[in-house]
Amino acid sequence: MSSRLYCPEELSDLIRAGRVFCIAAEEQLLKKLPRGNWIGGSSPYFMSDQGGVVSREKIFATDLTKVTTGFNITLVDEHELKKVYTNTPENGFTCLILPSMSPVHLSYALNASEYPDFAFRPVIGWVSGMHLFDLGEKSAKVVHGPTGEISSDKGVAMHVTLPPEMMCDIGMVNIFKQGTDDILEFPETGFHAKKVFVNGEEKCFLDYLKSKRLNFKLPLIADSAGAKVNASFQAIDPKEKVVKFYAPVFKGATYRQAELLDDYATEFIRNLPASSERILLSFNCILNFLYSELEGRRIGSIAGPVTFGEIGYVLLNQTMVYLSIYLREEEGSFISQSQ
Amino acid sequence: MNETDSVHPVWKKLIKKEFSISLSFLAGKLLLGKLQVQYGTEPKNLVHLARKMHDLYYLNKDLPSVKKDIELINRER
Repeated sequence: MSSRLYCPEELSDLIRAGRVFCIAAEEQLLKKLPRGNWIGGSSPYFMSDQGGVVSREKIFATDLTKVTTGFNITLVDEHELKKVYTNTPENGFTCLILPSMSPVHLSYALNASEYPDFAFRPVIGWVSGMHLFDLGEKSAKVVHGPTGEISSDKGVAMHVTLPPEMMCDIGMVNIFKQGTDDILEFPETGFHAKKVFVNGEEKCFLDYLKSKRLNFKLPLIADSAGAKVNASFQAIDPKEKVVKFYAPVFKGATYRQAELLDDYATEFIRNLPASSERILLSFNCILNFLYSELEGRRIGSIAGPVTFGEIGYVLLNQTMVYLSIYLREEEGSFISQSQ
Repeated sequence: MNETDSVHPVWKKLIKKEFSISLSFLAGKLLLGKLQVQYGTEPKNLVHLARKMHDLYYLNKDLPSVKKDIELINRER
């Protein structure tokens, strides 16, 4: 199994043997790993083959060795981040980890769709965090495996070249559907909002939320040509009358709150991809983990870090993103599908 | 699907929302959403926007999700 939990000693041996990994763990475990061909991010939450796990002793790692003929690992600041698509190999993908609430996280959230070659190369990844008990005391981290450098300000990227017989695709599981209630539009793009246009009428957003008694577990959803992009509620500041989100709301986008779900966990499991055996990487939102009460519960064979934001070309919330690997068909076989 | 397909009117129709379609390819959905917004503010760039959408699909034509989308798009030709 290419994605699973490891004891630190076992993983360290594999790193020293030259294997290539994408890693998630508590910060103090990441610090002790040997230098090597890996990138890492801080999170003690995982989906394993045993179900949801919270661990400060184990490390989650995906072994990419068999699917790469070459790779390049770099720390990325806001400037380098703009090249994430152009730096992705023609037949390959980039795995990107950004520390939660860092300048690179915020910059990516706001600007990724404007980067050169946006969507023309697969970019998948996640936002690192920390144990929720450590909120306010620790900062999220990423690690550049080849040097061991740890950063809370930069991201880390692994640009992976696939063997020529392989190709990859990024998918997203978003169990939420737009409701049929009010249309919401925001006068400004950002991670927080004071004002909102409700069916065209400007209102105080916090007052609107209170009057509607909206369920904060249900995100706002913008529909981008069928891609449902969530903005999940993070917090409210009653003094400043500000509502904060885990992902930005965009001026010009039209939002509706998600429909209420009968059962969060059941709906999530029902929406998992059919061909999960092809999944190499998967990243599942901490909000799904908490609201679905996934600790101890399996979601099929899906395994991966539980994250503080997901990257599937753009920053996503309350989703699971995954990278699937396919073998190329023999040349000519797809021609019959075209007209 | 071939490279010269980019001039087929169906790609412009897609940008202009002249038909609705449920795409499977995530990159396609996200790029289409962006290009449709751009068309709204810069309609004179339609040819360029349509070309871009075609090019994304041509580049990824071997993927199952793309093949599925191409089949749906071909029905609108």
